[in-house]
This record gives sequence, structure tokens and C-alpha cells, in this order.
Amino acid sequence: MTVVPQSGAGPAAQGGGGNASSLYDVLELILDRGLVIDVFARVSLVGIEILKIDVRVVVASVDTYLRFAEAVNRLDLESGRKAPAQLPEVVGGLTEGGARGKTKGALSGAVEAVTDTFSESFRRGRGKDRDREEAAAESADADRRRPVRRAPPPTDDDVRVPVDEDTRPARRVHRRRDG
Amino acid sequence: MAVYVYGITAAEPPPALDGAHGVGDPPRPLRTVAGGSLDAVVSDAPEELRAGRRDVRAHQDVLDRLSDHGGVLPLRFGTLAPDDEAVRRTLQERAPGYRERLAALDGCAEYHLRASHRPEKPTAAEEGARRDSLAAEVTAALGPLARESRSSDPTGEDVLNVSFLVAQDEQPAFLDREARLAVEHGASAFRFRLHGPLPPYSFV
Repeated sequence: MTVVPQSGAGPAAQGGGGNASSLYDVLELILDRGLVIDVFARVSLVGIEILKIDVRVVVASVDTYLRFAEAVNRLDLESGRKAPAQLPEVVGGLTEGGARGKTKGALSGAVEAVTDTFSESFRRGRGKDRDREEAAAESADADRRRPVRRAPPPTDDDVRVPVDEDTRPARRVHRRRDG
Repeated sequence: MAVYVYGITAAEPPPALDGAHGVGDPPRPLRTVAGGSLDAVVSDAPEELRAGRRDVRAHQDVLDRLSDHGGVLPLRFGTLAPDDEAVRRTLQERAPGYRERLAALDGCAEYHLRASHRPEKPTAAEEGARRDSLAAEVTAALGPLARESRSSDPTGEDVLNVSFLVAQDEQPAFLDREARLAVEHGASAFRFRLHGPLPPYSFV
């Protein structure tokens, strides 16, 4: 991946190819564009349909940003309006294919969309406020229909909360129908 | 065995993928599945796929490589097919459409341009006006050097989010003109961020 240096830009936009900020900027392209083949399933469609990003910090990397977003409880799973009906079958196949016991992982990480504060507030008025742990405990079906996870707006204190990427049980939402 | 599908290519010969890896931990080896005289580049599906840095970058790196090797239809991140046979069948059934799109993209790359305000924020009214005029100016300046363009609503602090499909021989002129825009606006209000050449995610 290449970042084209912008001579009129500040230092934050400078940098060589393949750096973290460039991945961050093209994340939306990678997750939300590209060819969709309807007969195939798309794992990250379970939960993510639209990636909206509200940047309030200088982002060092995608994962750092996602950790930040989670720390301030602003991760949001927009329910997939085009959630693939065929997905459970394929996921079932994946499970049967030998990944049993680990399959939750296949569907876990993708839940990393972030909404902008205003639209989130707007929708929050219509959605249910729920703690993320509760959301994670919801059944797969309910979660797929409307994986709402809402939380109050961030405070400065929240921003500093460190969240270790590997100890985030709330993110590991089970979506397996046969679980 | 479920397979993760990265992209579709018509390159002749097919890309050499020996030793190349894709998503997962450990990264799964890449291979091609042929059908309808096209090739899909796939790997076994990892047990865990995450839309985090590791797998997103792996996906992107594979597509970069295929872009450099005769062009690619990039698939959206996270596409799984039940098995190789399903991939082969889909390629065979849909080859004409894929081939047509690959031909339209031949020799082209995506350039993704964003612009954000410099820290001194204007009022909402000013911002709206400047955003509109910026988008119009950028489109007028760069559009003629691109085959296609696609705008999105900017998110966060950004005020511009647009992708251009640029043919190889137009790329120097495109980059030159974009750089001039960046300088002009960088001195005053906006900071430009241009990414590319990228696989043509926005033009499939």
C-alpha cells in the first residue's frame, strides 16, 4: 500500500508506503467495497455493514483505533441490512470442516465498526440501550437481526482506558446458530 | 473445507503464488482455483478471521500483488466460499461479466483521496460552503484525468472522500495535478491524503 506524500500536508500525512495510517484510511475500501459475490458468504457481514468512523484521536493503527473506540464504548454494530441468509449454512460447513471449538473465532473479530456520534445518538433514541456484555450474550439470531450495542458518549477519562486486544471477551460475540 | 477468496484475475500465466500467504494466524498459503479461463486466488479459511490489522493488511497485500500481476477484481474483505468446487463453478457461470469488468479495469488503479480541515475549525456554515466548493474543485480538476470516480460522504473530521480510477498512462498527470491541489489547499484550509495505487475496490 502506498501513501503518496502530500507536500502541502502536515507531518501526520507523510510517511512511506504501507504504514499504519494508510491502512486506516483505506480500511473503509477494504471492508465496504470490493466485489461481493452473492453465492458466497461474507464473514464480516455478520454485524458490519457500514463502517463509519469518527476520528477524535490521531490514529496510530487500525487496531489502536479500534481499541480506542471500544474503550470509549463507541463501537457500534450496524445491523446488516443485507445480512446474508446463506451464511449460517456456510458457517455450519466451516464448523463441520474441523474448526469445531474454535469456530466462534471465525465470526468474532469482525465486529469493529464505529459510528459517528450524531447518527449514533439519533439511532440510540430508537434502539435499546444495552451493555455490550449483554449484547454479547444475546442469542445469535437476535444479535444478527439487530446487534445494537449502545453506550453513553465518551468522556476524556474513557479515552485513556487501555484495552488489551486479546482480553476482550465482549467482542467475541457468538453468532453461531447451532451454538 | 471453506476457502477465503481474495480476488479474481485473468492474468496469463496465472500469478505464481509459491510461498505467498494470506489471512490467518499462521497465515494460510495462497493458491489459485481455475474456472471459466479465470483464476480465483484463495486460501483455506482461517479458524479466526478478524477485521483488525493483521487480516485486513494480509487481504490488501494479496490484492496489491495481484494488481501488479496483470490486474484483479478485488473481493470484499471476508468472503468465504464453501469449497474450491463452489469457487470453480461460480467462475465458470459468471466468467463473461467478470472478464468484461477486468477488461475495463485493465491497466488502471484506484487512487483514494481524502481531505480534512486543518485544526482551526470554521463555523458549520463556513464548513459546509467550503466542503462543497472543495469537492467541486477537486472533481473538476481530477475527474478529466480519471476513467471513473466515486464519492462518498466523508466521515469524522474529513470533508472529502473520493476515489478515482486512473489509467496507467494518466497517472503521472493525475499525481501532478493532485499534488498541486494539495499544495494550494494545504497552505490554507485543508490537508489532503492520497492513497494509491490501490486495487480497484471502488470500481468493481
